Parts: sequence; structure tokens; C-alpha cells
Amino acid sequence: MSNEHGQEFNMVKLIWKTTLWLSIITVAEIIAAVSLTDFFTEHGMLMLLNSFYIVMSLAKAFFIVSVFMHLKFEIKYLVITILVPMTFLLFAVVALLAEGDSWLHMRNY
Amino acid sequence: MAEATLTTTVRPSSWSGGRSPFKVSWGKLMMWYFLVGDSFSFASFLITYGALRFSYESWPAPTKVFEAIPFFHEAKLPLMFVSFMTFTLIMSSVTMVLAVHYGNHEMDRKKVAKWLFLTIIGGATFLGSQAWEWTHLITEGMTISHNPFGAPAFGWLFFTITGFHGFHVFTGVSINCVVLAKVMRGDYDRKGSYEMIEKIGLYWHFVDLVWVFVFMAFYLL
Repeated sequence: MSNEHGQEFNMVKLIWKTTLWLSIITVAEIIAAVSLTDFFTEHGMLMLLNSFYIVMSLAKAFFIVSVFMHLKFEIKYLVITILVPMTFLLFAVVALLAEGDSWLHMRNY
Repeated sequence: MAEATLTTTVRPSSWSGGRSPFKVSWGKLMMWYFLVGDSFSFASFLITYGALRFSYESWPAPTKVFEAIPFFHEAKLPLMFVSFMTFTLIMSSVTMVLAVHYGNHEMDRKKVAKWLFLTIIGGATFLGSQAWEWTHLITEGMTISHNPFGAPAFGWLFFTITGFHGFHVFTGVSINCVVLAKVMRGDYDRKGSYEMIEKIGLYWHFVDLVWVFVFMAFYLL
């Protein structure tokens, strides 16, 4: 193993702490989905709810990748070679959602 | 022969050769890059889902489509079964991290075997649950070409994406079984390294990570 852990650092404790966070976030998402979907029907509120899901899912992804997959303990440049390509996906998301929107308007002729 | 000696102090760079620049083995590095590529595959499916969904006026509401649970046929518990599936997969990820930890830090064969076994149980439970969910939805009339809940693309996208993910869970469980057999045989003690557990652990966490986004896309948004 090439990563260094300090003397006082307890990995098992970090694992269970991360598990707790993942569980709390998941429960929050589910409670929101089950209770708020029927009430947040107005477009702005729906966008807010969806943003909440997206931010929470990204937080979960961050916990899983950095702690469970150990990436926060790896060499910085390795982290860069893995995370930078993923940011390109953001362009794809934006472009294709816009594309879907234009298909919607095309359909309505 | 004239001897010309040139003395310069060269700071050893990680790229000078002879060792891994990122201080990881080639096996672990290649697993990481395979996962980057695989995440593009899943991303392309999920982005397609986003584009198609945006092109429809209305889309089935997940809280109405996904409200059945096994054994209690009349119960209507929106999203409860998928929540059970999500927690099962998260917990199997936790047991996997512990297996990796005990392998790397303690080289404790029995502990690694125990936690890896629990990971396999979690994965198999998830697969069985997914199979039940599929059977239930197909019985209700949802297929890859037809959807009683609304837009036909919903069925196609749901089965394709969860199927692709489920295939990854299946291969993950299979590889975990093979590695568990090797752990119990003492192969990694003989080898002197439990790094294989870490490598398959990366794959298993990736499977969980993809589920985080599949769950978000189909059940929450």
C-alpha cells in the first residue's frame, strides 16, 4: 500500500462515519421524494426539488469516490487524470438536455 | 579512452522511470481508467434518458409507478422497495471497504473472507430484488416497447439502463465469488498482497456509484 495514514488516523471510524452520511443523505432524498412530489408541482419549486436531488447525489458520489474508493488518499495528479475527464460530461448533459427541449418544440407543430 | 564525467544533480522525478509516477500498481491504475471509460458508457445512457425525457410533455411519476413491494400485493408504498435496494447496495459497498481495509492493513484472511462474503450476499440480494421489480413491472404491462404508465420510451430506457447496471452487478458478484474462493485458499497470503481485493473493490464501488445516479434519474427526478 502506498498511501500514508498518520498514527492517530482511524480508517475504520472514517468508513462508518461516511456510511452514516450516505444513509442520512439517502433517507433525506427519499423523504423528499415521497412527501414533496405532489405538493411541489409549480415549475420553480420542481426545479428546486430536482436541484436538491442532484446536489445530494453528487455529495454521495463525492463520499463514495473519495473515501470508499480511496481517491482522497492518492497522489494529486492521479486524482486529476480521473476527475478532469468526468467534468467533460457536464457539457454533454447541458447540450443534450437543450436538444431534448428542442425536440419537444419540434413535436408541437 | 578519455573519461569525461559530467556531474549534475538531477532531482529524481516521478517520471524518471523505474517506478510508478502515481505510486500505484499498474493493475490498480488500469482499473481506475477502465472505470472512467465505463462511467462514460453509463453517462451516455443516462444523458440519452435526459434528452428523451425533456422531449416529452408529460412523464410517468415515479411515486406512482414504483409503489409495489414483494409479498404484500395490495400495499402501496411509493419508492420503499427501491429504497431497500439502494440501502442493500450501499451496505454491500461498506462491507467491501472493510474487506479491502483488513486485507491491506492487517492481511487477516478470515476477516477479509467474512466481509467479502457479506458483500456477495448484498450484491445477490440486490440482483434478486431487481429481478422481482422487473417481473412486477412486466406483469403490469411495461416492456421495452410499451408503457401503460405513459410515454413508451420510459419502459425502454428503464429496462435498458437498469439492465446494463444489473449486468455490472452480476459480473461484480461473480468476480467477488472467484476472489473469495482464492482468499479462502490462501492465494493472497502466498502472494504477499491483498491488492486484488482493493482492485475489485474499486469495481464494486463504481457499481454502487452508478446506482446512485440511476436511482436519482429514474426514481427521484
